Amino acid sequence: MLLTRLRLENFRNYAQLDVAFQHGVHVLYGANGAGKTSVLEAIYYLALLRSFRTSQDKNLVQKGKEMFRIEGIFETPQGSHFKTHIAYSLREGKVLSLNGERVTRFIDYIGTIPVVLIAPSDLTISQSGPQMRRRFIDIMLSQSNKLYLNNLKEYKRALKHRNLLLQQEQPDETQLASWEALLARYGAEIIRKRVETVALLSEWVQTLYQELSAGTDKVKLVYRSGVKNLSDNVEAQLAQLLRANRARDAALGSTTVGPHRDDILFLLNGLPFRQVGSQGEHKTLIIALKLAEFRYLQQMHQQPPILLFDDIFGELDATRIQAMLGRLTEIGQVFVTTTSKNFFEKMHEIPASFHYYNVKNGTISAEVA
Amino acid sequence: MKALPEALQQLIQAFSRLPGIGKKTATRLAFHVLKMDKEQAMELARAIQHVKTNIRFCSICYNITETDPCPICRDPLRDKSTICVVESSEDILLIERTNEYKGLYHVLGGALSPLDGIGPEDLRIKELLNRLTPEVKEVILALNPSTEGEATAIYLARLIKPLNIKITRLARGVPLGSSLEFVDELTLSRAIQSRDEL
Repeated sequence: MLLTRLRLENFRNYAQLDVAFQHGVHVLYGANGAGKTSVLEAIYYLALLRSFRTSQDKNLVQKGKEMFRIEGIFETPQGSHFKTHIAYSLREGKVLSLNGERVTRFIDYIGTIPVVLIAPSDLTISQSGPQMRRRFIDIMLSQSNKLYLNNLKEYKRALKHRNLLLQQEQPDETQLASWEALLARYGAEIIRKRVETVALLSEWVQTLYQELSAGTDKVKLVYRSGVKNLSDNVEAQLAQLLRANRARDAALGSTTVGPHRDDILFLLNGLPFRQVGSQGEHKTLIIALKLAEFRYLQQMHQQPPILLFDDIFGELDATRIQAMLGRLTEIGQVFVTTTSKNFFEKMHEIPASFHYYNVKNGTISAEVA
Repeated sequence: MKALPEALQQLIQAFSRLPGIGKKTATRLAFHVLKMDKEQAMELARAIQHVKTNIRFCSICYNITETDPCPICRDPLRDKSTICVVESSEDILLIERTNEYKGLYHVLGGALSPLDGIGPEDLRIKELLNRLTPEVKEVILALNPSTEGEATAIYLARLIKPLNIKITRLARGVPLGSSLEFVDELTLSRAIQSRDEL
Protein backbone atom coordinates (compact mmCIF):
# COMPACT_ATOMS: atom_id res chain seq x y z
CA MET A 1 0.00 0.00 0.00
CA LEU A 2 1.33 3.40 -0.95
CA LEU A 3 0.18 6.71 0.44
CA THR A 4 0.52 8.92 -2.59
CA ARG A 5 -1.03 12.06 -1.18
CA LEU A 6 -1.82 13.44 2.26
CA ARG A 7 -4.02 16.40 2.97
CA LEU A 8 -4.58 17.91 6.38
CA GLU A 9 -6.77 20.67 7.67
CA ASN A 10 -6.61 22.08 11.20
CA PHE A 11 -4.76 18.98 12.31
CA ARG A 12 -2.32 19.67 15.18
CA ASN A 13 -0.17 22.57 14.00
CA TYR A 14 -1.15 22.22 10.33
CA ALA A 15 -3.76 24.72 9.19
CA GLN A 16 -3.49 23.30 5.65
CA LEU A 17 -1.21 20.70 4.21
CA ASP A 18 -1.12 19.01 0.85
CA VAL A 19 1.88 16.81 0.22
CA ALA A 20 2.73 14.02 -2.22
CA PHE A 21 4.69 10.89 -1.35
CA GLN A 22 6.09 8.02 -3.35
CA HIS A 23 7.79 4.68 -3.01
CA GLY A 24 10.74 4.44 -0.63
CA VAL A 25 12.04 6.11 2.51
CA HIS A 26 10.71 9.54 3.41
CA VAL A 27 12.89 11.43 5.84
CA LEU A 28 11.04 14.25 7.58
CA TYR A 29 13.58 16.47 9.30
CA GLY A 30 13.24 19.63 11.31
CA ALA A 31 13.44 21.13 14.79
CA ASN A 32 11.49 19.84 17.76
CA GLY A 33 7.86 20.95 17.69
CA ALA A 34 7.94 21.66 13.95
CA GLY A 35 5.22 19.08 13.23
CA LYS A 36 7.13 16.00 12.10
CA THR A 37 5.43 13.51 14.37
CA SER A 38 2.03 14.98 13.51
CA VAL A 39 2.49 13.73 9.94
CA LEU A 40 3.12 10.19 11.18
CA GLU A 41 0.20 10.59 13.54
CA ALA A 42 -2.08 11.50 10.62
CA ILE A 43 -0.91 8.50 8.58
CA TYR A 44 -1.42 6.21 11.57
CA TYR A 45 -4.87 7.72 12.07
CA LEU A 46 -5.79 6.97 8.47
CA ALA A 47 -4.95 3.32 9.15
CA LEU A 48 -6.31 2.76 12.64
CA LEU A 49 -8.72 5.68 13.16
CA ARG A 50 -6.94 6.67 16.32
CA SER A 51 -3.80 8.43 17.39
CA PHE A 52 -0.80 6.83 19.06
CA ARG A 53 -0.12 9.96 21.08
CA THR A 54 -3.51 10.64 22.64
CA SER A 55 -6.69 8.71 23.26
CA GLN A 56 -8.76 11.85 22.84
CA ASP A 57 -9.44 13.02 19.32
CA LYS A 58 -10.17 16.55 20.47
CA ASN A 59 -6.49 16.98 21.27
CA LEU A 60 -5.74 16.66 17.55
CA VAL A 61 -7.78 19.71 16.61
CA GLN A 62 -5.69 22.81 15.99
CA LYS A 63 -6.01 25.34 18.79
CA GLY A 64 -9.09 27.54 18.47
CA LYS A 65 -10.62 25.42 15.69
CA GLU A 66 -13.72 23.20 15.82
CA MET A 67 -12.72 20.36 13.56
CA PHE A 68 -9.94 18.64 11.64
CA ARG A 69 -9.77 16.69 8.40
CA ILE A 70 -7.32 14.05 7.21
CA GLU A 71 -7.43 12.81 3.67
CA GLY A 72 -5.20 10.18 2.16
CA ILE A 73 -5.02 8.86 -1.36
CA PHE A 74 -3.66 5.33 -1.50
CA GLU A 75 -2.43 3.10 -4.26
CA THR A 76 -2.93 -0.63 -3.90
CA PRO A 77 -0.33 -3.17 -5.09
CA GLN A 78 -2.67 -3.85 -8.03
CA GLY A 79 -2.39 -0.22 -9.03
CA SER A 80 -5.87 1.03 -8.22
CA HIS A 81 -6.47 4.09 -6.06
CA PHE A 82 -8.80 4.87 -3.21
CA LYS A 83 -9.39 7.84 -0.98
CA THR A 84 -9.88 7.78 2.77
CA HIS A 85 -11.37 10.87 4.32
CA ILE A 86 -11.79 11.51 8.03
CA ALA A 87 -13.58 14.55 9.37
CA TYR A 88 -13.66 15.04 13.09
CA SER A 89 -15.62 17.79 14.78
CA LEU A 90 -15.92 18.53 18.48
CA ARG A 91 -19.68 18.35 18.20
CA GLU A 92 -20.23 15.37 15.96
CA GLY A 93 -17.19 13.17 16.47
CA LYS A 94 -15.51 11.45 13.56
CA VAL A 95 -16.98 10.64 10.20
CA LEU A 96 -15.10 8.23 7.96
CA SER A 97 -15.62 7.92 4.27
CA LEU A 98 -14.04 5.70 1.67
CA ASN A 99 -14.15 7.06 -1.90
CA GLY A 100 -16.82 9.50 -0.81
CA GLU A 101 -19.06 6.87 0.76
CA ARG A 102 -19.62 6.96 4.47
CA VAL A 103 -18.37 3.98 6.47
CA THR A 104 -20.35 3.62 9.68
CA ARG A 105 -18.87 0.42 11.05
CA PHE A 106 -15.15 1.11 11.61
CA ILE A 107 -14.39 -2.62 11.87
CA ASP A 108 -15.10 -2.91 8.15
CA TYR A 109 -12.35 -0.42 7.42
CA ILE A 110 -9.57 -1.06 9.94
CA GLY A 111 -6.88 -3.25 8.39
CA THR A 112 -7.28 -1.75 4.92
CA ILE A 113 -3.97 0.04 5.36
CA PRO A 114 -1.48 -2.13 7.26
CA VAL A 115 0.94 -0.06 9.31
CA VAL A 116 3.80 -0.68 11.73
CA LEU A 117 4.89 2.08 14.07
CA ILE A 118 8.08 2.36 16.05
CA ALA A 119 7.92 5.19 18.55
CA PRO A 120 10.06 6.02 21.58
CA SER A 121 7.44 4.45 23.84
CA ASP A 122 8.00 1.09 22.13
CA LEU A 123 11.51 0.98 23.49
CA THR A 124 10.11 0.17 26.90
CA ILE A 125 7.85 -2.62 25.68
CA SER A 126 10.03 -5.33 27.21
CA GLN A 127 10.60 -3.37 30.41
CA SER A 128 7.31 -1.67 31.31
CA GLY A 129 3.99 -3.08 32.49
CA PRO A 130 1.93 -5.68 30.58
CA GLN A 131 -0.43 -3.07 29.09
CA MET A 132 2.08 -2.10 26.40
CA ARG A 133 2.58 -5.73 25.38
CA ARG A 134 -1.16 -6.41 25.15
CA ARG A 135 -1.51 -3.28 23.09
CA PHE A 136 1.20 -4.47 20.74
CA ILE A 137 -0.47 -7.81 20.02
CA ASP A 138 -3.97 -6.27 19.89
CA ILE A 139 -3.01 -3.63 17.35
CA MET A 140 -1.24 -6.18 15.17
CA LEU A 141 -4.11 -8.66 15.23
CA SER A 142 -6.75 -5.96 14.82
CA GLN A 143 -5.13 -5.07 11.52
CA SER A 144 -5.24 -8.59 10.22
CA ASN A 145 -8.30 -10.27 11.72
CA LYS A 146 -11.79 -8.74 11.78
CA LEU A 147 -13.15 -11.38 14.09
CA TYR A 148 -10.41 -10.63 16.60
CA LEU A 149 -11.12 -6.92 16.45
CA ASN A 150 -14.82 -7.57 16.91
CA ASN A 151 -14.26 -10.00 19.79
CA LEU A 152 -12.05 -7.43 21.46
CA LYS A 153 -14.68 -4.73 21.09
CA GLU A 154 -17.49 -6.93 22.39
CA TYR A 155 -15.31 -8.22 25.21
CA LYS A 156 -14.49 -4.73 26.42
CA ARG A 157 -18.13 -3.78 26.34
CA ALA A 158 -19.25 -6.87 28.27
CA LEU A 159 -16.48 -6.14 30.78
CA LYS A 160 -17.95 -2.70 31.49
CA HIS A 161 -21.37 -4.24 32.00
CA ARG A 162 -20.05 -6.81 34.46
CA ASN A 163 -18.04 -4.27 36.44
CA LEU A 164 -21.07 -2.06 36.76
CA LEU A 165 -23.30 -4.95 37.73
CA LEU A 166 -20.85 -5.91 40.48
CA GLN A 167 -21.29 -2.44 41.95
CA GLN A 168 -24.97 -3.07 42.59
CA GLU A 169 -25.86 -4.00 46.14
CA GLN A 170 -27.47 -7.34 45.40
CA PRO A 171 -26.59 -8.19 41.82
CA ASP A 172 -28.84 -10.77 40.19
CA GLU A 173 -26.78 -13.99 40.15
CA THR A 174 -28.20 -15.27 36.90
CA GLN A 175 -27.53 -12.00 35.17
CA LEU A 176 -23.98 -11.92 36.47
CA ALA A 177 -23.46 -15.48 35.23
CA SER A 178 -24.82 -14.48 31.81
CA TRP A 179 -22.37 -11.61 31.38
CA GLU A 180 -19.60 -13.90 32.59
CA ALA A 181 -20.59 -16.55 30.07
CA LEU A 182 -20.35 -13.91 27.34
CA LEU A 183 -16.99 -12.65 28.65
CA ALA A 184 -15.72 -16.23 28.75
CA ARG A 185 -16.83 -16.85 25.18
CA TYR A 186 -15.18 -13.72 23.71
CA GLY A 187 -12.26 -13.95 26.14
CA ALA A 188 -11.45 -17.51 25.13
CA GLU A 189 -11.48 -16.53 21.44
CA ILE A 190 -9.10 -13.65 22.14
CA ILE A 191 -6.76 -15.82 24.21
CA ARG A 192 -6.77 -18.60 21.62
CA LYS A 193 -5.72 -16.21 18.85
CA ARG A 194 -3.09 -14.56 21.03
CA VAL A 195 -1.54 -17.88 22.11
CA GLU A 196 -1.34 -19.06 18.52
CA THR A 197 0.17 -15.77 17.34
CA VAL A 198 2.67 -15.42 20.19
CA ALA A 199 3.99 -18.92 19.44
CA LEU A 200 4.57 -17.91 15.83
CA LEU A 201 6.18 -14.57 16.75
CA SER A 202 8.39 -16.34 19.28
CA GLU A 203 10.00 -18.43 16.58
CA TRP A 204 10.52 -15.47 14.30
CA VAL A 205 11.88 -13.22 17.04
CA GLN A 206 14.29 -15.96 18.13
CA THR A 207 15.80 -16.23 14.66
CA LEU A 208 15.80 -12.49 14.02
CA TYR A 209 17.42 -11.76 17.37
CA GLN A 210 20.26 -14.20 16.69
CA GLU A 211 20.80 -12.72 13.24
CA LEU A 212 20.78 -9.14 14.53
CA SER A 213 23.09 -9.83 17.45
CA ALA A 214 25.21 -12.36 15.55
CA GLY A 215 25.04 -14.52 18.65
CA THR A 216 23.44 -17.65 19.99
CA ASP A 217 21.25 -16.26 22.76
CA LYS A 218 17.81 -17.82 22.93
CA VAL A 219 14.89 -15.43 23.02
CA LYS A 220 11.41 -16.70 23.70
CA LEU A 221 7.95 -15.15 23.93
CA VAL A 222 5.45 -16.86 26.19
CA TYR A 223 1.80 -16.00 26.59
CA ARG A 224 1.00 -15.74 30.27
CA SER A 225 -2.64 -15.94 31.25
CA GLY A 226 -4.73 -15.98 34.40
CA VAL A 227 -6.22 -19.11 32.84
CA LYS A 228 -3.92 -21.89 33.99
CA ASN A 229 -4.28 -24.59 31.40
CA LEU A 230 -4.27 -22.99 27.96
CA SER A 231 -4.46 -26.30 26.13
CA ASP A 232 -7.68 -27.27 27.89
CA ASN A 233 -11.17 -25.68 27.66
CA VAL A 234 -10.29 -22.00 28.14
CA GLU A 235 -13.89 -20.82 28.01
CA ALA A 236 -14.99 -23.06 30.88
CA GLN A 237 -11.95 -22.17 32.97
CA LEU A 238 -12.48 -18.47 32.41
CA ALA A 239 -16.16 -18.67 33.36
CA GLN A 240 -15.22 -20.57 36.49
CA LEU A 241 -12.54 -18.02 37.46
CA LEU A 242 -14.90 -15.11 36.91
CA ARG A 243 -17.43 -16.74 39.18
CA ALA A 244 -14.83 -17.47 41.85
CA ASN A 245 -13.51 -13.89 41.76
CA ARG A 246 -16.83 -12.12 42.16
CA ALA A 247 -16.34 -10.94 45.74
CA ARG A 248 -12.81 -9.70 45.14
CA ASP A 249 -13.75 -8.06 41.84
CA ALA A 250 -16.73 -6.34 43.48
CA ALA A 251 -14.47 -4.93 46.18
CA LEU A 252 -11.94 -3.70 43.60
CA GLY A 253 -14.58 -2.46 41.19
CA SER A 254 -12.89 -4.24 38.28
CA THR A 255 -12.52 -7.67 36.73
CA THR A 256 -9.20 -9.25 37.67
CA VAL A 257 -9.03 -12.17 35.28
CA GLY A 258 -9.28 -12.40 31.51
CA PRO A 259 -7.29 -11.43 28.42
CA HIS A 260 -7.33 -7.78 29.51
CA ARG A 261 -5.04 -8.80 32.39
CA ASP A 262 -2.82 -11.29 30.57
CA ASP A 263 0.79 -10.69 29.59
CA ILE A 264 3.46 -11.74 27.16
CA LEU A 265 6.72 -12.76 28.81
CA PHE A 266 10.02 -12.13 27.07
CA LEU A 267 12.71 -14.59 28.04
CA LEU A 268 16.45 -14.42 27.39
CA ASN A 269 18.03 -17.85 27.78
CA GLY A 270 15.10 -18.87 29.94
CA LEU A 271 15.26 -15.86 32.27
CA PRO A 272 12.99 -12.80 32.28
CA PHE A 273 14.35 -10.30 29.79
CA ARG A 274 13.30 -7.48 32.07
CA GLN A 275 15.76 -8.67 34.71
CA VAL A 276 18.71 -9.92 32.71
CA GLY A 277 18.63 -7.90 29.48
CA SER A 278 21.15 -5.07 29.02
CA GLN A 279 20.01 -1.81 27.41
CA GLY A 280 21.59 -2.91 24.15
CA GLU A 281 19.84 -6.28 24.28
CA HIS A 282 16.49 -4.63 24.91
CA LYS A 283 16.99 -2.48 21.83
CA THR A 284 17.89 -5.49 19.69
CA LEU A 285 14.80 -7.25 21.00
CA ILE A 286 12.54 -4.35 19.98
CA ILE A 287 13.97 -4.36 16.49
CA ALA A 288 13.43 -8.13 16.24
CA LEU A 289 9.89 -7.79 17.54
CA LYS A 290 8.99 -4.98 15.14
CA LEU A 291 10.50 -6.90 12.25
CA ALA A 292 8.33 -9.86 13.23
CA GLU A 293 5.26 -7.58 13.31
CA PHE A 294 6.18 -6.27 9.88
CA ARG A 295 6.58 -9.78 8.52
CA TYR A 296 3.30 -10.93 10.06
CA LEU A 297 1.30 -8.10 8.51
CA GLN A 298 3.16 -8.50 5.24
CA GLN A 299 2.13 -12.16 5.07
CA MET A 300 -1.47 -11.48 6.06
CA HIS A 301 -1.92 -8.66 3.58
CA GLN A 302 0.46 -9.93 0.92
CA GLN A 303 2.11 -6.54 0.74
CA PRO A 304 4.56 -4.66 2.93
CA PRO A 305 2.92 -2.47 5.61
CA ILE A 306 3.72 1.22 5.78
CA LEU A 307 6.54 1.63 8.27
CA LEU A 308 6.60 4.63 10.59
CA PHE A 309 9.70 5.52 12.62
CA ASP A 310 9.00 8.26 15.08
CA ASP A 311 12.15 9.97 16.26
CA ILE A 312 13.86 6.99 17.80
CA PHE A 313 17.32 7.76 16.55
CA GLY A 314 18.45 9.13 19.86
CA GLU A 315 17.79 5.71 21.35
CA LEU A 316 18.64 3.46 18.44
CA ASP A 317 21.92 3.86 16.67
CA ALA A 318 22.37 3.94 12.93
CA THR A 319 23.75 0.40 12.80
CA ARG A 320 20.57 -1.08 14.30
CA ILE A 321 18.27 0.90 12.05
CA GLN A 322 20.26 0.00 9.03
CA ALA A 323 20.20 -3.65 10.10
CA MET A 324 16.44 -3.45 10.44
CA LEU A 325 15.77 -1.80 7.09
CA GLY A 326 18.26 -4.15 5.46
CA ARG A 327 16.35 -7.15 6.71
CA LEU A 328 12.99 -6.24 5.21
CA THR A 329 12.31 -8.50 2.27
CA GLU A 330 10.51 -5.69 0.54
CA ILE A 331 10.42 -2.02 1.40
CA GLY A 332 7.16 -0.41 0.46
CA GLN A 333 6.92 2.95 2.08
CA VAL A 334 8.79 4.18 5.12
CA PHE A 335 8.37 7.45 6.99
CA VAL A 336 10.94 8.60 9.50
CA THR A 337 11.11 11.72 11.60
CA THR A 338 14.43 13.01 12.83
CA THR A 339 16.11 16.18 14.01
CA SER A 340 19.34 15.28 12.24
CA LYS A 341 19.10 14.70 8.56
CA ASN A 342 22.68 13.58 8.12
CA PHE A 343 21.89 10.51 10.20
CA PHE A 344 20.38 9.04 7.06
CA GLU A 345 22.83 10.22 4.55
CA LYS A 346 25.13 7.41 5.62
CA MET A 347 22.46 4.84 5.00
CA HIS A 348 22.46 4.54 1.29
CA GLU A 349 23.35 0.90 1.20
CA ILE A 350 19.65 0.28 1.76
CA PRO A 351 18.08 -0.67 -1.57
CA ALA A 352 15.40 2.02 -1.54
CA SER A 353 15.06 5.56 -2.79
CA PHE A 354 15.35 8.30 -0.16
CA HIS A 355 13.25 11.46 -0.19
CA TYR A 356 13.91 14.40 2.09
CA TYR A 357 11.31 16.79 3.48
CA ASN A 358 12.06 19.85 5.57
CA VAL A 359 9.39 20.43 8.22
CA LYS A 360 9.07 23.94 9.65
CA ASN A 361 6.19 25.38 11.70
CA GLY A 362 3.40 23.49 10.04
CA THR A 363 4.78 23.54 6.49
CA ILE A 364 6.59 20.85 4.58
CA SER A 365 8.88 21.33 1.65
CA ALA A 366 10.17 18.49 -0.40
CA GLU A 367 13.84 18.69 -1.22
CA VAL A 368 14.65 18.38 -4.87
CA ALA A 369 17.26 15.68 -5.31
CA MET B 1 -34.10 32.54 21.35
CA LYS B 2 -35.68 35.40 23.30
CA ALA B 3 -37.12 36.87 20.15
CA LEU B 4 -39.25 33.78 19.46
CA PRO B 5 -42.86 33.58 20.66
CA GLU B 6 -43.34 31.27 23.62
CA ALA B 7 -45.53 28.80 21.69
CA LEU B 8 -42.91 28.32 19.01
CA GLN B 9 -40.19 27.83 21.58
CA GLN B 10 -42.28 25.10 23.18
CA LEU B 11 -42.68 23.31 19.88
CA ILE B 12 -38.94 23.50 19.21
CA GLN B 13 -38.27 22.00 22.61
CA ALA B 14 -40.79 19.23 22.02
CA PHE B 15 -39.15 18.34 18.70
CA SER B 16 -35.64 18.37 20.12
CA ARG B 17 -36.63 15.65 22.58
CA LEU B 18 -37.13 13.24 19.66
CA PRO B 19 -34.28 10.83 18.87
CA GLY B 20 -31.72 12.07 16.38
CA ILE B 21 -33.05 15.61 16.37
CA GLY B 22 -30.84 18.43 17.54
CA LYS B 23 -31.66 22.06 18.20
CA LYS B 24 -31.11 23.09 14.58
CA THR B 25 -33.38 20.44 13.06
CA ALA B 26 -36.00 21.05 15.75
CA THR B 27 -36.09 24.73 14.85
CA ARG B 28 -36.41 23.94 11.17
CA LEU B 29 -39.26 21.50 11.83
CA ALA B 30 -41.08 23.99 14.07
CA PHE B 31 -40.90 26.68 11.40
CA HIS B 32 -42.10 24.17 8.88
CA VAL B 33 -45.14 23.38 11.04
CA LEU B 34 -45.79 27.10 11.25
CA LYS B 35 -45.87 27.33 7.46
CA MET B 36 -48.11 24.27 6.98
CA ASP B 37 -51.76 24.86 6.28
CA LYS B 38 -53.96 24.58 9.31
CA GLU B 39 -55.71 21.32 8.37
CA GLN B 40 -52.41 19.50 7.82
CA ALA B 41 -51.00 20.69 11.11
CA MET B 42 -54.16 19.65 12.96
CA GLU B 43 -53.98 16.24 11.31
CA LEU B 44 -50.46 15.81 12.64
CA ALA B 45 -51.59 16.80 16.14
CA ARG B 46 -54.55 14.42 15.96
CA ALA B 47 -52.37 11.58 14.74
CA ILE B 48 -50.06 12.00 17.72
CA GLN B 49 -53.04 12.11 20.07
CA HIS B 50 -54.61 9.09 18.43
CA VAL B 51 -51.46 7.03 18.77
CA LYS B 52 -51.20 7.85 22.43
CA THR B 53 -54.83 7.19 23.30
CA ASN B 54 -55.63 4.20 21.12
CA ILE B 55 -52.44 2.23 20.93
CA ARG B 56 -51.47 0.16 23.89
CA PHE B 57 -49.57 -2.98 24.65
CA CYS B 58 -51.12 -6.41 24.23
CA SER B 59 -51.53 -7.84 27.72
CA ILE B 60 -50.18 -11.21 26.56
CA CYS B 61 -47.25 -10.56 24.25
CA TYR B 62 -46.70 -6.79 24.74
CA ASN B 63 -46.82 -6.06 21.05
CA ILE B 64 -48.37 -2.69 20.22
CA THR B 65 -52.03 -3.00 19.36
CA GLU B 66 -55.34 -1.20 19.14
CA THR B 67 -57.24 -4.19 20.53
CA ASP B 68 -56.29 -6.27 23.52
CA PRO B 69 -55.30 -9.08 23.08
CA CYS B 70 -53.55 -8.24 19.81
CA PRO B 71 -54.63 -9.82 16.50
CA ILE B 72 -51.73 -12.30 16.58
CA CYS B 73 -52.52 -13.57 20.08
CA ARG B 74 -56.22 -13.87 19.17
CA ASP B 75 -55.64 -15.68 15.89
CA PRO B 76 -56.80 -19.32 16.37
CA LEU B 77 -54.60 -20.44 13.46
CA ARG B 78 -51.33 -19.42 15.08
CA ASP B 79 -49.20 -22.14 16.57
CA LYS B 80 -49.47 -21.71 20.35
CA SER B 81 -46.60 -24.08 21.09
CA THR B 82 -43.91 -21.70 19.83
CA ILE B 83 -42.99 -18.27 21.20
CA CYS B 84 -40.52 -16.01 19.44
CA VAL B 85 -38.87 -13.53 21.81
CA VAL B 86 -37.90 -10.15 20.33
CA GLU B 87 -36.56 -6.91 21.73
CA SER B 88 -39.15 -4.56 20.22
CA SER B 89 -42.43 -4.48 18.31
CA GLU B 90 -40.62 -3.38 15.18
CA ASP B 91 -38.89 -6.76 15.11
CA ILE B 92 -42.30 -8.48 14.93
CA LEU B 93 -43.10 -6.45 11.86
CA LEU B 94 -39.94 -7.67 10.17
CA ILE B 95 -40.52 -11.32 11.01
CA GLU B 96 -44.21 -11.15 10.01
CA ARG B 97 -43.24 -9.83 6.60
CA THR B 98 -41.41 -13.10 5.91
CA ASN B 99 -44.65 -15.10 6.21
CA GLU B 100 -42.47 -17.92 7.47
CA TYR B 101 -43.40 -17.88 11.11
CA LYS B 102 -46.76 -18.98 12.40
CA GLY B 103 -46.19 -19.02 16.15
CA LEU B 104 -46.64 -16.38 18.84
CA TYR B 105 -44.37 -13.55 19.97
CA HIS B 106 -43.14 -11.96 23.13
CA VAL B 107 -41.75 -8.41 23.23
CA LEU B 108 -39.12 -7.90 25.93
CA GLY B 109 -38.94 -4.15 25.53
CA GLY B 110 -35.15 -4.03 25.20
CA ALA B 111 -32.08 -5.96 26.31
CA LEU B 112 -30.12 -6.25 29.53
CA SER B 113 -27.67 -3.38 29.86
CA PRO B 114 -26.17 -2.49 33.22
CA LEU B 115 -24.44 0.45 31.49
CA ASP B 116 -27.86 1.93 30.73
CA GLY B 117 -29.35 0.82 34.03
CA ILE B 118 -31.58 -1.80 32.38
CA GLY B 119 -32.00 -4.92 34.50
CA PRO B 120 -34.30 -7.96 34.25
CA GLU B 121 -37.04 -6.13 36.15
CA ASP B 122 -37.14 -3.46 33.44
CA LEU B 123 -37.84 -6.07 30.76
CA ARG B 124 -40.90 -8.27 30.43
CA ILE B 125 -39.11 -11.40 31.53
CA LYS B 126 -41.40 -12.42 34.38
CA GLU B 127 -44.30 -12.05 31.97
CA LEU B 128 -42.53 -14.35 29.53
CA LEU B 129 -41.90 -17.01 32.16
CA ASN B 130 -45.56 -16.86 33.18
CA ARG B 131 -46.51 -17.73 29.63
CA LEU B 132 -44.40 -20.88 29.54
CA THR B 133 -47.16 -23.40 30.21
CA PRO B 134 -46.73 -27.09 29.24
CA GLU B 135 -48.39 -26.19 25.95
CA VAL B 136 -45.23 -24.29 24.92
CA LYS B 137 -42.67 -26.56 23.26
CA GLU B 138 -40.16 -24.11 21.82
CA VAL B 139 -38.85 -20.63 22.57
CA ILE B 140 -37.02 -18.87 19.74
CA LEU B 141 -34.63 -16.13 20.86
CA ALA B 142 -34.59 -13.53 18.07
CA LEU B 143 -32.60 -10.84 19.86
CA ASN B 144 -30.22 -8.39 18.22
CA PRO B 145 -26.69 -9.71 17.62
CA SER B 146 -25.24 -7.01 19.92
CA THR B 147 -23.30 -7.61 23.14
CA GLU B 148 -26.45 -6.79 25.11
CA GLY B 149 -28.68 -8.98 22.96
CA GLU B 150 -26.27 -11.91 23.37
CA ALA B 151 -26.11 -11.52 27.14
CA THR B 152 -29.91 -11.35 27.31
CA ALA B 153 -30.19 -14.51 25.23
CA ILE B 154 -27.81 -16.34 27.58
CA TYR B 155 -29.80 -15.02 30.55
CA LEU B 156 -33.14 -16.20 29.15
CA ALA B 157 -31.71 -19.57 28.19
CA ARG B 158 -30.53 -20.06 31.76
CA LEU B 159 -33.98 -19.28 33.11
CA ILE B 160 -35.87 -21.39 30.60
CA LYS B 161 -33.59 -24.44 30.47
CA PRO B 162 -34.88 -25.99 33.77
CA LEU B 163 -38.38 -25.99 32.28
CA ASN B 164 -37.35 -28.51 29.63
CA ILE B 165 -38.46 -26.37 26.74
CA LYS B 166 -36.50 -26.36 23.48
CA ILE B 167 -34.57 -23.09 23.11
CA THR B 168 -33.35 -21.97 19.69
CA ARG B 169 -31.94 -18.82 18.25
CA LEU B 170 -31.65 -17.25 14.83
CA ALA B 171 -28.89 -18.60 12.62
CA ARG B 172 -26.16 -16.20 11.61
CA GLY B 173 -24.70 -16.37 8.18
CA VAL B 174 -24.25 -14.97 4.75
CA PRO B 175 -27.11 -13.04 3.16
CA LEU B 176 -28.89 -14.76 0.32
CA GLY B 177 -28.90 -13.61 -3.25
CA SER B 178 -25.47 -12.02 -3.23
CA SER B 179 -22.18 -13.62 -4.05
CA LEU B 180 -19.64 -14.19 -1.30
CA GLU B 181 -17.43 -11.40 -2.55
CA PHE B 182 -19.95 -8.83 -1.36
CA VAL B 183 -20.31 -10.22 2.14
CA ASP B 184 -18.38 -8.22 4.71
CA GLU B 185 -15.44 -9.99 6.28
CA LEU B 186 -16.88 -10.04 9.78
CA THR B 187 -20.14 -11.70 8.75
CA LEU B 188 -18.22 -14.17 6.64
CA SER B 189 -15.85 -15.06 9.52
CA ARG B 190 -18.83 -15.62 11.80
CA ALA B 191 -20.55 -17.72 9.17
CA ILE B 192 -17.47 -19.92 8.80
CA GLN B 193 -17.40 -20.41 12.56
CA SER B 194 -21.06 -21.41 12.74
CA ARG B 195 -21.08 -23.51 9.56
CA ASP B 196 -23.58 -26.39 9.12
CA GLU B 197 -22.91 -29.98 8.28
CA LEU B 198 -24.48 -31.21 5.08
